[in-house]
Amino acid sequence: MKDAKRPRLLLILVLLYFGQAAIYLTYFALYGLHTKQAFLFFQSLARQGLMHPERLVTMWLLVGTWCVLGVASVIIGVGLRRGRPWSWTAALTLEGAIFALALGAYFNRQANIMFYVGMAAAIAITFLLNQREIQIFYRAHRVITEGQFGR
Amino acid sequence: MSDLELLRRFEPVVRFTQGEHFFPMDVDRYVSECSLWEACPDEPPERLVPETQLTLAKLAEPRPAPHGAVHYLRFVEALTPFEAARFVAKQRRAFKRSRGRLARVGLTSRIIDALFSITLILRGRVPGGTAAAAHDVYQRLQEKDERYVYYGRAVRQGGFVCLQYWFFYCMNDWRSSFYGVNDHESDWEQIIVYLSEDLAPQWVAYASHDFTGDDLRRRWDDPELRREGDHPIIFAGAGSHASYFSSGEYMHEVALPFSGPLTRFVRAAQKFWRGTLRQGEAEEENEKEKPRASGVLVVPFVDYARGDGLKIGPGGDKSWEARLLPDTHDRSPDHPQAWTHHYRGLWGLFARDPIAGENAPAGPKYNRDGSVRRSWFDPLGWAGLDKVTPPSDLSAAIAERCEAIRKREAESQTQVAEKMTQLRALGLEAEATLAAPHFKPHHAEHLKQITELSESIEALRKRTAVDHALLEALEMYSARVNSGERLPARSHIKTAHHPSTEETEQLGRLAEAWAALSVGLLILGFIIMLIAAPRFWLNGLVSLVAVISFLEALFRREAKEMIQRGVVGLSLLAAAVLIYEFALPLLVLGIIALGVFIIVENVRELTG
Repeated sequence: MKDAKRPRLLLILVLLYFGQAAIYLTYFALYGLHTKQAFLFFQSLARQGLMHPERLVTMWLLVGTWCVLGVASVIIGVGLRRGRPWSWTAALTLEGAIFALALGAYFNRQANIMFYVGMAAAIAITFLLNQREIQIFYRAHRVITEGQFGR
Repeated sequence: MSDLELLRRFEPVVRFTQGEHFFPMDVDRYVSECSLWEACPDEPPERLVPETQLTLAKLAEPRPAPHGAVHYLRFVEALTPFEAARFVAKQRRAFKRSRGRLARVGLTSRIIDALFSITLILRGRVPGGTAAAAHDVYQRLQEKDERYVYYGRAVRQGGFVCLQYWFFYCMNDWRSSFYGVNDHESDWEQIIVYLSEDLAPQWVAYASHDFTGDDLRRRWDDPELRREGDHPIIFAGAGSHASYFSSGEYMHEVALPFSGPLTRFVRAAQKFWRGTLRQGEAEEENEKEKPRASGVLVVPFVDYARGDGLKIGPGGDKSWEARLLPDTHDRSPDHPQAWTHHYRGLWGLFARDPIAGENAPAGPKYNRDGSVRRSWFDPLGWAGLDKVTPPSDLSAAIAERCEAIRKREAESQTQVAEKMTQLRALGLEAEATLAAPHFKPHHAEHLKQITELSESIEALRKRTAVDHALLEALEMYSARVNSGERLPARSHIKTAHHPSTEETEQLGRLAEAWAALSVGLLILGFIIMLIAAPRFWLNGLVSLVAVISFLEALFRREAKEMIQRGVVGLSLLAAAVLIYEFALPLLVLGIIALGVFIIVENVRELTG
């Protein structure tokens, strides 16, 4: 990336990305710490038939998801910081996954403040990733073939 | 040199695509095969002259008719489906199409195309088998007496000599033979060669689908214009007979009726998205010759103008027979082509198509509604040449313009001097009456006059400054013209039609098969889902569209762009959700941010 000038928005993008990583790792830590105790509590409820066992699976899935999102955000954030072209595509794909997760939860009426915070961060990151200067920097622009008479 | 000699000197060479069925012919033989009809609104059509009895002289006879009546010719009766199938099979052997039109466009366009095909059932259309029948008759006529004919006239207008060439075909079979937009009996196509008064060729304009004005013409020295000596080469679209400057396959988009407001809205949103928010790919703002802006609801078609078939004209496989059309003022019924003026009807079947695509065209002079074509009464304006000074007059025209501006500049200066004298007098009077209370009403009047005069002087000085700059530009242009320099040959073109690039033609069989199947699969998948899991029809539909779109992007090697578009779409949806859920907090936050911004700005001014 020595041939392209670093756009000013790049710093904000990288900071936001690490911020996003921090959010998901915090969720993971909070859930992770409490889930073990909650798991035991809900397990007893499930045994008594007061809670559907599926919810336990959902909880562990969510913890795993926060962990994956947090770790992936760190790795991609490092890639973005170093100006690696793959990191732009990876970042956009990860944001797509976050949107799918958050919107899925919202439309199934299971969204909470954690999802909304994640959504807001993802919107800001997507807006920055889609900025023309950022795309050029990561060479994300598709090369348009010129027509016969030099469009 | 007579008009006919002029026409022959610059007559074009027309290169057709292999598999083309119909070539320019004379109207005499065509009309002799036709019957003449009159259609009045809400009434069955009435045959006025039966087949074999119609002649050009009869066609030119006056025929009073009520308002809304349409006169039209009927060339052939459609063949039976079996006979038509034989024609199609033969045609497929002769014409090798390349990558299909559906594979060249996206899923949305293909869905719209399916809807467009359905409208053909509802609209009036040329019956299937008409092209086959027309081809049989055309072949019989050509076997008897092979002729390739154009009609032409020379019009002198605005320092140019306009040589207008008309080509008559007995059928346009673009839809039925070449997967195009429409079919219609008979077809009239035109080009114009523009000469200066000393008979040097300057410009050429080709009629081509929906292009108008400046975009129709090319300068004689434009590398895009191919020539055989003094004969411009036309690459005719297969079946459509539209004229192109270069050989190739042209993507042509037909906007659905009533899609204009939606297209304008999408364009404005795209402008804001790309221009103001700097999102996505850069808009080619300073680029000349933008590709034609496509609408939102458009149906794609390919016009094959390969030029690998028959070549008619000087140096070609066949020669032209030229026929001179009568002058605008020559309305004599004895002229061999008197029909030009006197027959305003359609030259083939009136299919009662409300959007007119399947109705036959009117003659060289008239539009379908009987009004006179612009290219007939204003050949210069038709190609945007009405504002262009012929090269032979250019130096004199610039000198004349410079003189006029100098004169205006001198007049402005005189006026400024006079007004300045008045203004100063008023200023003096205003100063003098300032300390006299009894002059209060006059003082106000003085101030009003001073303001008006001052504004008028400002306007004059502004105009003088503009005139001065204009004069400089004209003098520089004059120097360039006198040294033989010309503007770039393509500087007048705003939107140009370029043939598809090889890249877009080489996406492989799999992509083409997918293009043909995807819309059908989408519909079938949706129906299966409705039967199997009706509760989840919305989720299922969204998933189905997402999967099909992703496969589509993979086939088109645009997976990255698809992910980008998809994620941006999801982010907009998420933004809408957040606004919906947190409208009040967001409003409060916005107001707080505005307040902080104002405080920061004011503090910066205080400390600055």
